[in-house]
Amino acid sequence: MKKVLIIDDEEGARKIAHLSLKHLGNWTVVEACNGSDGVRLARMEKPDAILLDVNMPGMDGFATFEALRGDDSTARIPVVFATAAKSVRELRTLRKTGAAGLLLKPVNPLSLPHDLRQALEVISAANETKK
Amino acid sequence: MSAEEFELLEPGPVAPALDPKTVETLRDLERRSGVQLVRDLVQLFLNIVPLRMEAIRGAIADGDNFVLEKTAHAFRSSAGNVGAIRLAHLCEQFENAGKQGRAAAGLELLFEELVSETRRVSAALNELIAKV
Repeated sequence: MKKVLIIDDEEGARKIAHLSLKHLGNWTVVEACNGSDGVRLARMEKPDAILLDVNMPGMDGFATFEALRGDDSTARIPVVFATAAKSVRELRTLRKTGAAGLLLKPVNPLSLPHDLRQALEVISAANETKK
Repeated sequence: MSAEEFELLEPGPVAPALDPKTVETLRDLERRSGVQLVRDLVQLFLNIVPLRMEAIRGAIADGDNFVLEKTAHAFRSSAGNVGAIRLAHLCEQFENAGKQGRAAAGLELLFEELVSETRRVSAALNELIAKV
């Protein structure tokens, strides 16, 4: 069973994503409620994917993403951003980070497992092409 | 920017406080997972409302754009989770005001509307969990 790490400061959003990915997507789910705990858990748990909220107090999604990329043990874990951002500029900035994907919040819990898998397949295919 | 420049939403019965499709999606997830979800989400939302409202009110009073943007964003996200679309839309207007450095610019009318919509959503959520 594949493992996903959800990093989001909002408990409701974590709960929805957790239930969706665990029960509809058959993922093992671990959660962190802030960026620094997320980075620590990523090192410990070595998830197959990370669902990362962007707008968090303290260490936000961008800083968390950079920290994950800067650590050899987590650098290659695919990260999918989840954001409630609406401005084109913000979304463009997120796309340029090199993350595996971008999901708009509120996510649809019934399609989240499919959306996450699709994002991971796209990045996996892109990585294969580069080899 | 004056309050008139913000989009004051039509009050009343036109838009339901909660999007029925979102509520049904959450109920569906609850049924399929066998884990209590709707009641927990409602409780989380109702617990956070006074804190968010006080923070937004304070940010307007202090002209604190950063706090206004961040708090309104977080409140928008929570509102979206429970399908409170109109409330989320109002929060977005506060978020944009903060982003544009206009926390001190006549948001009182819009805040009154936020208070009113928050009450409407809270009542609808309480009704929802009374049925669960």
